[in-house]
Amino acid sequence: MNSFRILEAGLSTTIQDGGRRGLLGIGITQGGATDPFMMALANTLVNNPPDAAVLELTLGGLQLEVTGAFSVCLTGAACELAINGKPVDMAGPHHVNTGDLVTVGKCHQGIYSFLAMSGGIDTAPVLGSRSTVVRENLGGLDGRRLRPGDSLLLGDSPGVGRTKRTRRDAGGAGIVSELGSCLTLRFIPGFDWEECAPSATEGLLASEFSVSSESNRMAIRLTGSHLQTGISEAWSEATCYGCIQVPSDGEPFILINDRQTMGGYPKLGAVIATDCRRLTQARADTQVTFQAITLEEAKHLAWLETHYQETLQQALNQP
Amino acid sequence: MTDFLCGLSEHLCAANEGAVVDSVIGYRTLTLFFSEIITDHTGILTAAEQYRHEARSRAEKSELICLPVWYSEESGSDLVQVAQHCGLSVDEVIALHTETIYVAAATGFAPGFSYLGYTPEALKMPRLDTPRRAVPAGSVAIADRQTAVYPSSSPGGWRLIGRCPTRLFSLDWNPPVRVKVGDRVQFYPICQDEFLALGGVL
Repeated sequence: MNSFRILEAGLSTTIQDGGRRGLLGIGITQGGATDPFMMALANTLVNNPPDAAVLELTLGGLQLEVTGAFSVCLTGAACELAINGKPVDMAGPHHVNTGDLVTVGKCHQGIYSFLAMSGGIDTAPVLGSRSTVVRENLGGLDGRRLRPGDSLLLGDSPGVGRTKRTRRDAGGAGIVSELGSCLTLRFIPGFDWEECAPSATEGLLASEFSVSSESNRMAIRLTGSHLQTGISEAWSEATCYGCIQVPSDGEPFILINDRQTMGGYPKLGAVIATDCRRLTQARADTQVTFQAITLEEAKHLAWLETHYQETLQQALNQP
Repeated sequence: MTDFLCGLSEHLCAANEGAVVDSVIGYRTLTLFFSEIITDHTGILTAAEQYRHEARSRAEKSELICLPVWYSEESGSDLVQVAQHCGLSVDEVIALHTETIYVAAATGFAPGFSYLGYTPEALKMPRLDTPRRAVPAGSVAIADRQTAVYPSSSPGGWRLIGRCPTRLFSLDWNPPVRVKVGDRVQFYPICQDEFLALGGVL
């Protein structure tokens, strides 16, 4: 059976897959890879189902030793990748054998990278998923970040990844590209938008914010403008992916995968998933602005995104 | 309100079978997460309107869950302060907290955490200005007109008045939570020895 051992674990490396569904109602957060598209791409390139469990790396930095024979593929944040000390192209899947050392070095662009291995990481699923939620001590390996010395098994693999053929196709699609000078977050106004003081809604649309270094898998924190919503009484209600939450100090948070399922702060709307995915990969001090769009526009953008992803997956799957 | 939202949630999940992925009840809201491919918001809203007109009663009867609490200064570090703030004796605080039957208006925040409403007006307490970094697991707390048990150690800004030894979340159960939205909860007082005998940890 194929396996690997962690020699260096980096800043924060966790096991992630597609996350949990149907459990928000009992307080279990969604979790899962912060960039599901990049995870799916890495999995496809090593012949796995799109949401097989992978390693999610934060700002690169990982070394592992291989036992067996399988393929590995790294996508997401742009990192230096080496096999047995020899630098290799990040985009292509690479075949590795017993004793090989896979090293992910410096991260140049983006935050989260995804290392898929053929067969997928085979820990015991918890509530239908292998995703780690460190805060709740849930899933992954004992609900925690990986450490040097951890050994992990891979699932059965239908064979070696198709190394030669896909190398040409994946290319830049699997690597986080450089952001422009400013990231526009398109959002659907909702929740407390109507009840909010006009200075707060106008402030959200007119201000330039910057990504705070205090962001994590729960939320992206923005600084730069203080929005006074004028809403003092807030009743706890569900939060969603991309939710724009404004606490009393007025600096908005955008809630993502590991968010708490309920929130009592005023909420101005939800950032569309495709822009939220870009936001999770944005480094501290990246400038962001907000743009309100309609539900119909959001649906159209979601359709385009899905179509792009499906087309790419199909191209990679073609014999 | 909670009963209506529970009924509405059941109705909408049944009317849009296969499309609704998650349903989350809050104090005054119902949030549905659904697949855009199978249905859309107009389909959901039509079904919601239909339910409002029919206003039927829920099939499922809510459960009364009785939870033991060791009320003391040792187990609830804000108990004395709560009594002082409310102009009551500690015994009166305990009597008011235990005589009320609460309804779980929402669950979430952390796995197994239930927002129980409403405490008597006389027990109304503001939250702490600065939340504690860590509240011990099992802590029974009040804030505004709500009460709750912290199922595991976590940060928290509510006022602690006691400790409950009953487990509220376990991955070995299906569902993994003891209290569901709509369930009724009542507390009863126990002493330290009973707390320990019931598996409570100091």
